[in-house]
Amino acid sequence: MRAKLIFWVFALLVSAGIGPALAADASVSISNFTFHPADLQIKAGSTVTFRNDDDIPHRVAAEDGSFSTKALDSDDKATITFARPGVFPYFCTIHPHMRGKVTVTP
Amino acid sequence: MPNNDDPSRRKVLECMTWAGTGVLWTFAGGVPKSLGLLGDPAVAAEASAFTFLQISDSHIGFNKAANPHALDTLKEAIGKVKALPVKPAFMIHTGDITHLSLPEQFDTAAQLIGEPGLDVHYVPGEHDLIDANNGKLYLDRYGAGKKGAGWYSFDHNGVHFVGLVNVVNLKAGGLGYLGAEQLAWLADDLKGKPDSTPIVVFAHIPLWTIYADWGWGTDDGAQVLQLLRRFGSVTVLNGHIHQIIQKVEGNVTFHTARSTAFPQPAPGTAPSPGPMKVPEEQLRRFLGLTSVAVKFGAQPLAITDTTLADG
Repeated sequence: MRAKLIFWVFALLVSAGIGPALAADASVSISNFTFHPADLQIKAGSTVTFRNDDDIPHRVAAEDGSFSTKALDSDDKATITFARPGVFPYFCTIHPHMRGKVTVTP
Repeated sequence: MPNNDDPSRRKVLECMTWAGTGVLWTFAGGVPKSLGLLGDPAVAAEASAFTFLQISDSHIGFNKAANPHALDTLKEAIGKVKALPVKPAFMIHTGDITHLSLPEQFDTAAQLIGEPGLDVHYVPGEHDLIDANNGKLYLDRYGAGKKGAGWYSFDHNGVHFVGLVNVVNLKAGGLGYLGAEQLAWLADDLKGKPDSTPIVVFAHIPLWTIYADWGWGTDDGAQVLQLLRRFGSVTVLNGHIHQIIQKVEGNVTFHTARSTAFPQPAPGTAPSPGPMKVPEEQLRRFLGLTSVAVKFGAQPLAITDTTLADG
């Protein structure tokens, strides 16, 4: 009974996207002018850290304008929190042929 | 003074025309050598001829493996400009002046590129607009008297020069982009110009599609070419790809310049267009400047590229 209660509290926290320990934070590496992974799925409330592993700066921005990073020089990182569910296509504003997508589930 | 039938003079002019039509576009000779030819009294007799230089992609602040000393190679290039026996009319810089749009990088660029004492006409590259305010630093420095994101035109000895900006508001999945406002301005700018006016258009990203997979082209570049179609002599000078690629289409000569900072791979020959590491002793063969000689008459402009390895 007690175990069952803990399970439901746990499930509630996950579905509400609260409880930082429960949010599976992710990272995207930028190398060879490509986002890795280019298609990422996370839970609402999670963060995605973009890290530039190229010898050239990149700048990540959502196609809908909902987020953008500063220009990331080599080895620079930027962390974006995805609070609400949805599909967020993004691109590099400096090299717009570079595209990726974050799918945020409730 | 030799007349037109002087074989030595004819030879020089033919050679320069040949270079200008793009048959010979690599290692056509150094700027000093080229201008040595122009300094020949026979050629100097050509009415109102002048030369200008194109410098591109200096990337002040770049220090990665492909060239840890990009400032030094720019200094070498500027040294060549200062040593020219005949002073060019001016320089154009086709963008990526800095690597990261930092104020101190703009300062260093202005100081160094200003050393030869020539007027420099700039257009921005995407690396010049990545400050926190999306290009404010560039426009504060170079935007005076220009339109929109920094486009403009000017005339020199009867040649009409147009500096375009195709690195602003780039669209996801797209290439370089000029936008309706700039295209409308260009149509208006060219209106009333006789078809015989020689036109030189310069912009950072190539105005024609060289390799879309790497973003090497301009989405609405074809609309510029449509506006230029009626002119008898059009020269399009770009940077961005850090290597020479040239083509001639009708009356339009397209030409991209080398960087002074680092080479990039030929289209499709590497996993990405990132900086290309070449053996240290070969680096200077991949970096350089472009000289353009304007001669009046029916001939195309003579474009001569020189590398930092040329004497």
